[in-house]
Amino acid sequence: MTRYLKLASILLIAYSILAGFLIPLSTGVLEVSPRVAKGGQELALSIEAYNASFLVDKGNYEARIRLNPKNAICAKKVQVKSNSNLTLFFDIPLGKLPVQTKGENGKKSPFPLLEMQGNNNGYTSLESVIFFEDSLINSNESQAFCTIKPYKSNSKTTFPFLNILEETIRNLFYHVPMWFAMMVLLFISVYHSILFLRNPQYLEHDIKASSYATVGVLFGLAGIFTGALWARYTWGAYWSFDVKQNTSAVALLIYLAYFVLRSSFDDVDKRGRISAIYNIFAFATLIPLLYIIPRMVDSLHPGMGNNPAFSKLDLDNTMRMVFYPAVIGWIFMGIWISQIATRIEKLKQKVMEDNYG
Amino acid sequence: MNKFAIILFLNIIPFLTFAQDGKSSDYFGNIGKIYVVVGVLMILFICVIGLLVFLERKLARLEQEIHKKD
Repeated sequence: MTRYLKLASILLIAYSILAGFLIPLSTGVLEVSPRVAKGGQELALSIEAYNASFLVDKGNYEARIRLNPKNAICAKKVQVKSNSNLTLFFDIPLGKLPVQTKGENGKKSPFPLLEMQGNNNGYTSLESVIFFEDSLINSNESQAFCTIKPYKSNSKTTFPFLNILEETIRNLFYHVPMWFAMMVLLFISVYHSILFLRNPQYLEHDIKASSYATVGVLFGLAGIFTGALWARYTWGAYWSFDVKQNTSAVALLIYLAYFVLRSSFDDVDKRGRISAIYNIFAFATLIPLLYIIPRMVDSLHPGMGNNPAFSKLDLDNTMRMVFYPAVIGWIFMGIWISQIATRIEKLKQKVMEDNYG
Repeated sequence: MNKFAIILFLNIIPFLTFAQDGKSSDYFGNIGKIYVVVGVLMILFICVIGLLVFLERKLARLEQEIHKKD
């Protein structure tokens, strides 16, 4: 049974690292200029893209600026300069443009939304791409919008491109599973603490509770450190005193106190009972610290406060195919290491009994 | 030895301060920030190695105890 668990953990983690690095990002827009346009103007929008090969798609690349779900201004000409640079030409109609400013469900409106598509590059979009200055002259002619035909979804396996995140979107497979594994390990630890309180004669439960907590806290520390490095290149600082960062640090400190408490008792039974009770309380504070308080206030971390979250990514099936195996793999790896720690601790207990008991 | 360490440290400083918030001057910010992902994996590697060392030290202490008895 445990043999399969170990094998599965190795295979799943190896798969998540390989797939997480080998699958490319989809084409994304890095920079657009200009960001302001006037009615009646011929707009030349120059675009710098990431991971693009526009030269391959030359001739059949399409682009449009969507003003609302129904209307769009289509590019009349696409001029490809290089693989990552192109210029789009638009005729901006006169009069007040029907740009939808209200988003759905209290979210920010994505319009005017730039959408581009080619056979090789797939579908690319950028929200709030340009600001339209309304022209005062009302034109009599009907505004020149093109019909919207749906763009095909990407046929290639890619991870979504998000500005600021860029390639670091892959960290989802290495940072988030740490927290999942930590939660599972600490839960197993609490489970054994409760079992020990019910049957204090089985010291094995106390040993298991402490080993699982040790490995769980180490996974939490790994999560904090990887999160700090990720934050340095997306939020701007290693530690920006964000709620999520602070509360997770506090949660880990509470667990560190658990180990201090354990080491301060010589009597095995007393240590087992008191640390088991402390463990239950520590786990009870962990849930609000990690999952409730950060959601009640604004935070930079995805999924908190008014933040748009990883919903766009969570819905992305390619990322799920790598993310879930990574989570399961790291949980199994944590259980494996905890079992080794338990075995060492049990041996120690036995040697102590033989030597001094 | 001490002098050598100081010289080495002074030589490293320019590389550390080179990391600005600019676009291409920042090594970690290059190629769509892919090196951040490599750094994150390195941190995980270091953490797992740390766990190994921790367990090994526990075992070494146990071995000493067993030797004492023999």
